[in-house]
Amino acid sequence: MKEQISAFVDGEVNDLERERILREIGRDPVLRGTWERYHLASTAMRRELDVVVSPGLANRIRDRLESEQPEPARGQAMDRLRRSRHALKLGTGLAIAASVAAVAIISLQPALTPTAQLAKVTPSPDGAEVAQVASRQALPEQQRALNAYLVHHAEFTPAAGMNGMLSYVPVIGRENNNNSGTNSANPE
Amino acid sequence: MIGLSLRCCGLPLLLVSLAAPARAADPEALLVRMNKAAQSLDYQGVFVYQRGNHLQNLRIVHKVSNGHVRERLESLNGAPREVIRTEQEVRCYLPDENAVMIEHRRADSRNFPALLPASLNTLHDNYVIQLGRDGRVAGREAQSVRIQPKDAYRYGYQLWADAASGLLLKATLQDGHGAPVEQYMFAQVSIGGPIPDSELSPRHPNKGMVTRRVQDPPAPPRENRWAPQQLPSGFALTARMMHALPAHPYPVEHLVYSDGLAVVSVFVEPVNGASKAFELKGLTKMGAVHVFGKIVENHQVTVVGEVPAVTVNMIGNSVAAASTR
Repeated sequence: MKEQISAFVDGEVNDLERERILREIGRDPVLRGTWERYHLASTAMRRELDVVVSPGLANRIRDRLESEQPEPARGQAMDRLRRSRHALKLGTGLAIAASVAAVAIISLQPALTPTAQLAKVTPSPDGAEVAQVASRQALPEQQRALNAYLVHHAEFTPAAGMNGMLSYVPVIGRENNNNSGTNSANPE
Repeated sequence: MIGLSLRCCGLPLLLVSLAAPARAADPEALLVRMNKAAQSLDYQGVFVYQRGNHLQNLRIVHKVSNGHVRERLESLNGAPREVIRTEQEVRCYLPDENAVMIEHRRADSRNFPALLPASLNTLHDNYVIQLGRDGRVAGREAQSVRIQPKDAYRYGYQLWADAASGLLLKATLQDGHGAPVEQYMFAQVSIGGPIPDSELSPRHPNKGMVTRRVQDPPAPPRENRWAPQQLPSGFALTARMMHALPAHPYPVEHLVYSDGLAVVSVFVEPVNGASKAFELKGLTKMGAVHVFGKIVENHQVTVVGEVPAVTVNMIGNSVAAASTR
């Protein structure tokens, strides 16, 4: 089963297997833990990482799913996730779980430990799995890469000579309340 | 405040008495004056940034103390994003992304192609530069200069400078038909100090935000491994360096090309299965900034510039590893 979960996390299973694995994960807390670790490890390997989360995320996700707590940020997060490539790639069931994960991460944010290093999944001394997870899958890696590129490019633009900070406007001035999804940088 | 206004009024008179004209007599002199003013003046104000149907209000604070420049740029509507820049680093506070991005500055004035009379000569090969009509911006007398491109590979500019100080008050980027692509304009500005240091600290500090700090930048590449094989006329390599970017697995090679006014950056970084998420393919537009991405020999090539799409396209499609030449 662990191998199947691993394949599932890597997107290497067919629709039928995916449905079955999702059912199993939903039923079995041990498998849920396995899925959580593999998912975080897989995320870590893809470097979609920002923050360290404490163990038990999957259980908190399940709790959220079961309690169906209304959450102010939830609708927005779910909208975002629905649009994200990652959520689309996975099955509907997991897409819902993933959006709840996003809500969990958003609402848990102040407790998270920021890290400077984008490290691999590392076992902590007490044996608990510590991993880094994408804090918001809704934010495409491309946008982040673009921001970094823009900051470096801005150092050289003519505006930098005439009125320094103007060249940073594309970084902070891009539409920041839009909901156009992955390519939010170019709604024009 | 009385002292301030006296100082503002007194400055041009003083310059006149020293036989240095307050108003630039030719467009080149005005450009040089604007360049100097932006670097040496203390100023703060609110300006409007417009592109297409997007309108943004921003506050800018610029302070020079003992020759050291510090700046803060803050978005006043939408997400409260901020950029704080010193001579050592650039901090981008992005609360909506729950992140602070810190980049160490290495480029700056050392590498920046300064707008000096010498480099202005080469500008004439690709632009027509003329003084424009005088006007009024943010309640101040302004002198304008028009810079029109001679081909389709760059934008045109219309710039308005404060007649008294030379500070850029309004800038319009224009496409080949003279239509505005992007505009900046001060709504209100005060020129001259004193500016309290508190004005330069973040309004929205990074409480609970994730800090992405860039490690020490790697050494620049020894040889010119990557290069565009095709550049519009007048564009030449002005800087070359490596960056370590947050969340990027490999250092990024950064090549800067400029015609003296327009600047195009070419970024090259290796991609493999693990970093597929970064892939940028094709054209992206952010106001006047065009971005073109392409995968070349397992490398992500990204061209970024405040130039028309055709320019980033041409440059991006011609980038090749030097060894394959």
